[in-house]
Amino acid sequence: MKATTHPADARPTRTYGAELRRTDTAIVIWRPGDEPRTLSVNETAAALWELCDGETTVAEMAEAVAELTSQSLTSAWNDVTSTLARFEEAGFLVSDPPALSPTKRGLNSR
Amino acid sequence: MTAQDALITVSVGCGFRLVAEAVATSLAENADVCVVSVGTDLAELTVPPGTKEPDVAVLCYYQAGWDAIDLCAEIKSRAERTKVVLGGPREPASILQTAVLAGADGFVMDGEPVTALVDAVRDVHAGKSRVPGEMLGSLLRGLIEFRREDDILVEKFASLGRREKEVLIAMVSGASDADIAKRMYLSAHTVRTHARNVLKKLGFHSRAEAARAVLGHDLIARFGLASESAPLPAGRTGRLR
Repeated sequence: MKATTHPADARPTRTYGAELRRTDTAIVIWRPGDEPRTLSVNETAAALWELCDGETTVAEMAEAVAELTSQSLTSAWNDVTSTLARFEEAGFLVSDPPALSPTKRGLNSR
Repeated sequence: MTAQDALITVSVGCGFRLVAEAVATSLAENADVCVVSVGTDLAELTVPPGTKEPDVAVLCYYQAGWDAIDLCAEIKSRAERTKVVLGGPREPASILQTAVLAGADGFVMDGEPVTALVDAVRDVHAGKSRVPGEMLGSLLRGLIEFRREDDILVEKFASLGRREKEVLIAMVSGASDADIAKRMYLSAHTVRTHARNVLKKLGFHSRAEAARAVLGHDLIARFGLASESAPLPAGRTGRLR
C-alpha cells in the first residue's frame, strides 16, 4: 500500500482493534486477526499513535511536538508525517476517516 | 575564551538547602559541569550583575510551598537562554504540563539516578528537550488541549468591549466592585453589569474561574493591556509569548 501525504487539517484515525503494547524492551502496535500485524515504534511514535483519535489534526500534532521537543516546526512536521506514513503503510490508520466539522486550527492559523 | 566558557554553567535550586547542595555536589563531580549558584530562592540563584546567566538551572519541585514552576517561569523571563531542568515526581501530570508551558526544557523523574540528571543537563544545553518517554503522550495531549482552549479564549477575550476588558483586568487583580467603580468613575451597579456580561461572554461561572483562565493564558500581557491596580501574578505561559 502506498502511503498518502497527510494534509495539515487531516485527522488520522486508528484502525479498529489496533492497539499499543509495551514490554520491558519494546513498544509495538499490533492488530490481531487472520493477518496479524505488528509495528515496532519508539516513544515519540507511541505518543503520536495515542493522538490518532480522529479528532486531533496533523497540524496540532506537529505544533505540540515542536513545542515539547524544542524542534523547529518544519522538523517536527517532517517527523510527524513520516511517522503517520509508517502507520498508514502498516495498515494501522483508517484510509478515509469520517469527516468532522472543520476547526480553525491549522499550520498557518497563528 | 576562559575555562569556564567551555563548561556548562549550572545553578541548582531546591526548597531544601541540603538537597540543593547534595545535587550541586553530584553535578560538580562532572568535568564538563560548573555549578555557579545554589539556593532556595531566586535571590540566591541570581548571578551578580555583569555575570553571564547560567546555561542550565536545575530545580527540584518536591516540597509543598516551594514553587519551582513559578521559579522556572521567572528564570525564563529573565534569561531565555537559560535552559531549565525540573526534577520531581511524575504525578500529577498537570504539574509537568504547567512546567512545559512555563518553559521547562527537561525533566528528571523521581526514581531516576543522578546520571540521568547529568544527561538531562547536557541534553538541554545542547538544545534538545528531555521528556521521559512515557510522559510524551499525556504532555502532547495536554498541550493540544491547552492550545484549543487558548484559541477559543483569545477569540472570546477579543470580542469584549474596552470597558469590559478593563473591568475584567481589575477583577483579576482582586479589586472589589466598589474599588473598580471608584477607579473607573462608574456606579457599582454598572460594574456589576459589566462583570456579569464578561463572565457570560467568556463562558465562566465565577470570577475565580475567569481569573484562573486570564492568568493561565496570560491574556493581559498578550493583548498589551496593563493592570492599573495591584501587580498581577506572573503568567505561566512563557512559550506563548
